[in-house]
Amino acid sequence: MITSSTVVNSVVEKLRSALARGQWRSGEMLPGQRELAEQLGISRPSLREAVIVLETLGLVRSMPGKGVVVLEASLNEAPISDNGVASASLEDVLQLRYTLEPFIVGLVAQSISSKEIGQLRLTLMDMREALDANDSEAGMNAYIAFHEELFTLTSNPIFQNVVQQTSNALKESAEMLRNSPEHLAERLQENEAVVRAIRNKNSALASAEMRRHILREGQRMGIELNIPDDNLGK
Amino acid sequence: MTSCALKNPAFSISVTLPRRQREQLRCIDDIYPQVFDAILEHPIAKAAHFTEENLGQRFGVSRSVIRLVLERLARQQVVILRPNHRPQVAAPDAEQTRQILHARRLAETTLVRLACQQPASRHLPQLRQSIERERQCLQQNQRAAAIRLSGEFHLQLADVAGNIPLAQFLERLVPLTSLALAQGPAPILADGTWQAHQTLVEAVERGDVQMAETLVNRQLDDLQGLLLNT
Repeated sequence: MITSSTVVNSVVEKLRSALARGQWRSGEMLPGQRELAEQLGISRPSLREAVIVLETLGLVRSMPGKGVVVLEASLNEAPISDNGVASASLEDVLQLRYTLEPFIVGLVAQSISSKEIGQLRLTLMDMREALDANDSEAGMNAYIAFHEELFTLTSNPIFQNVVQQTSNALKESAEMLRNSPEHLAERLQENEAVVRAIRNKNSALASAEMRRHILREGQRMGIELNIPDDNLGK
Repeated sequence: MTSCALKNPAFSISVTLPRRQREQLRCIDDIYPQVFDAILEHPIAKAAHFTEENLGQRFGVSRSVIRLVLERLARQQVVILRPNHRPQVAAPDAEQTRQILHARRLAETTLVRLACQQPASRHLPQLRQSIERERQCLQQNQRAAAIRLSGEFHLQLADVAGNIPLAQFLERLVPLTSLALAQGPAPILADGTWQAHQTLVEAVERGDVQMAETLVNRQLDDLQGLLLNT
């Protein structure tokens, strides 16, 4: 089902990546509302809302009567909006993943078909290929694709929200993933362990492997996650 | 003070926004609870009366403000917006409610633990205010507002935890729970909800993680009992 908010979200993503690619440089104006809305195939109210989101993220600023000017944004820094709300930190993202992903894989392990297992394994193969080719960009994409595939397999509609939330979170940490290609082999191994458990329909083990993966991910980033003691031993 | 998780970051008031937009955003923060309460009072709103135009007239604001309020409610899954259709109020069935509560348990257990580790003084007065409003609404028999405020308490607590993505995840679950409560045969709210919230705030204040987790789980158990008779 397409709601307007998903339209806005996808436009925000499009504009964000266009800005990240440098399609418009800082100080430049975005095309006029009418033109941009047409280019993106959306209504002007949706575009306006997307621009408000980008403003909040500190990427652009609306100049009344003039248009929307692109601000300088460092990709490496979490944007902090003027009202002092910092965007999610890597730690926040990992904490979110640690809270939700083990549960998601547990669900997937209960309901997955052999065809779906095949799809999951394809993304792992992409990761392996990227590893062999020493292509860190492809490695990062395959890593994200693996997790997105996993979330898509959850039949639970409520957790489809998590899919959106977690994929956004993953993309937020994309820069970090790109910058640490040396860990790709470990990520692959850990994700393979998750898929093995899913294949064996071992829900508890799949959850445990995912927990382990995210904890390791934290260690690799030098982040100590805040987790209950009773989960450590599992 | 409105909680941050209640507002989509898209709506957070930023000093860089032009004045007109800023006023519009502030207006949305005012109108949102009124529209939500109206939905909670008549959860199965007659589709014919539930249009941007009617809502705009009823609350004395422009259609564009109503549209943005509806967008926020749509993000919270309370309202379903489809092109060329009237806004529709969601109606979570028993299975969905079960899933919502399960998801809440995952998120809130982590959030309350994080909240316990935050310095207490900054946020707790807000939480207390919110509990007080909830108590007053119940006293005045404003059930819908009490149900909404009771949910908002959980979102405010999530803000205290300081994990934005997790708080945003919860934002898609709590309003739906309120809706499910309102859609019951008679609007229901567990007796002693605000008292339970008070005890929870005290545990968070002491930094008593174990107690706070137990209390959150107990509240979710109560909700599950009310909504699913289990």
